[in-house]
Amino acid sequence: MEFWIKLWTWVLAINLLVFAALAITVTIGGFGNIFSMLRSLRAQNDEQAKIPGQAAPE
Amino acid sequence: MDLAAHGIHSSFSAIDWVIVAAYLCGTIVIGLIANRYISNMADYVVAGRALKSYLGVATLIGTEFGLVSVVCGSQLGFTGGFSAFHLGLLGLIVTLFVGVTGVILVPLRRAGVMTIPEYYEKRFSRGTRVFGGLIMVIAGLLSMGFFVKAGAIFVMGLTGMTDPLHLKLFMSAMVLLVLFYTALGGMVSVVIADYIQFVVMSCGLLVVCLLGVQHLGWGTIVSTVREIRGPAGFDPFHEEGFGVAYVAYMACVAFASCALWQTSVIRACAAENTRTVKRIISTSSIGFLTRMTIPIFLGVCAYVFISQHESLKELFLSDAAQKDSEMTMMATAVYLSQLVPTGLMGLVSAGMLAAFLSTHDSYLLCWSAVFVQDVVAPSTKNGLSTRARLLSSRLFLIGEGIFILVFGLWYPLGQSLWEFMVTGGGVYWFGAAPVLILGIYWRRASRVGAYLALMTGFGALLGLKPVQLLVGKLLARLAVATNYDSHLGPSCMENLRQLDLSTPKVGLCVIGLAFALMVIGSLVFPDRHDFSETEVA
Repeated sequence: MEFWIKLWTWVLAINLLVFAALAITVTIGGFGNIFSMLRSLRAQNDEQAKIPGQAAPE
Repeated sequence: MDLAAHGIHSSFSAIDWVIVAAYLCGTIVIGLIANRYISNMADYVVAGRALKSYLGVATLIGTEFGLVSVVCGSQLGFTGGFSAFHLGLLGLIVTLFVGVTGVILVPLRRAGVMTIPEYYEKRFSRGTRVFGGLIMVIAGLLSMGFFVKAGAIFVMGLTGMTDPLHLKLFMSAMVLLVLFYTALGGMVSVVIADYIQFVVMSCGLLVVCLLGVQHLGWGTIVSTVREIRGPAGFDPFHEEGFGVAYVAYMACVAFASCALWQTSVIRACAAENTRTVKRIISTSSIGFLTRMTIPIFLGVCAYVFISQHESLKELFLSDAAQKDSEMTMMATAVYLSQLVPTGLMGLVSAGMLAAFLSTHDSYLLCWSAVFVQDVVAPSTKNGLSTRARLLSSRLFLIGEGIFILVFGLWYPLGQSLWEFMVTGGGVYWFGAAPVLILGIYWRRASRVGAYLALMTGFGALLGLKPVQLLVGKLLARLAVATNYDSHLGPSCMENLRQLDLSTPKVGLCVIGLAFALMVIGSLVFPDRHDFSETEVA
């Protein structure tokens, strides 16, 4: 049982630390990605609008 | 159940309601903004395939780490102790393996498909696509059938609203809100909402975990579990706890969650390239660990806290309460309502609601997209226009909303929420596992084998407790009708009427059978066409 107690203690501690680090990284990086995604979608839409009679890609 | 009558009052106050309301209003605004960027089905379903790594990770974790995961995990922690952590560890190891190797997901991304049934058509036939798509939608809706009620029960425990009418009103309001912004903005609003949910939820959960350790003390938490649950509270293989079959079944579930489940696969399909697929999945492995570990830990803390308070102990730790799924689902919420101070409570609740919404939006969007793209469109003669696809998808979304609302109120759970979810989803993935794995990596896999494997998935239904009771009663009636009951004896007949099969063992048997039938079907009925040109591995 002692093995499992030690294992779960470490799993939880490391998990909390890594998740905190991941949360900070993804929060900062994801913010930039949102604008990039919206820019890309707008560019795609503008591109389609320029070509008359072009069917939208599925 | 009236918690106030037992002297239990939530710390949820007016300030917390304001925080929650502000969050919900923000969500509606996102739906409206995102709608401006939708011009075709690819924008609607996979956000124009413009998803980058960080946002991909946030949205994948945001979807898979929903309020339902919190309820499931906390219920497992409350009833099983620390040993339930094995689910998180398996999630980490298996997802990391899938991410590093790119198994299944990279070939799917390379094939340029949006959904798994689309791959079935490329590899097998159009009929397989329609059939596989239909099974996927049925299983997906079944697995999320209890989402709304579970979420509502948890939020009721958190806010202290315990009137049954509140439950119905809350469920209806949440379904309407999810439908509104999913139908409006599709994948674009989903990923942005998932990102916000990820931020709010991660902060809230990390703070709540630290509060739990500070309030109860790590030593007390471990010693209480050791004292009451013994080795079964820590050792997942212990026969009084989860057991070997359960752990093996959960390893399969972990693989299905990240490599076979459409909501995960759709993010791989939405990634910019195959390198991004690997990066998103590998990084998300931390999320797959966390989505179980943190809720399980909260469930363990709830168990320790409740065991220290007589009024709560009477309510939640009696034999009857321990067997009542709704009580064990609510226990952690009630614990949080006693622990978390006003203000922070609003943030935590907003995080929980965000988690509730983000899982629903992704799932509803996913099943409606599969239904339209893989069932309706391929079945029509001339295909569907983009406008018709978007309209059908949104109409199907409304149908899904009505289904989960009615199902949640009507269905008697009778087992842990996690078991119900993985078993309901099993109708799809028990069969999809051999079809995808062998379809991608075995040239001789054939259409007949795929049909047989997909049909075998329905065997998963035997893992649901109400189905077992129904089957048991039918078998008992059959035995009486054929006079076979005298051979069986009264005790055997009673066991038959109260049929209680181990869900993990049923699951493992059905998975094994699906693989066997896929191989046998493919060898006995090979395809006439050579699929080497469409092979994507």
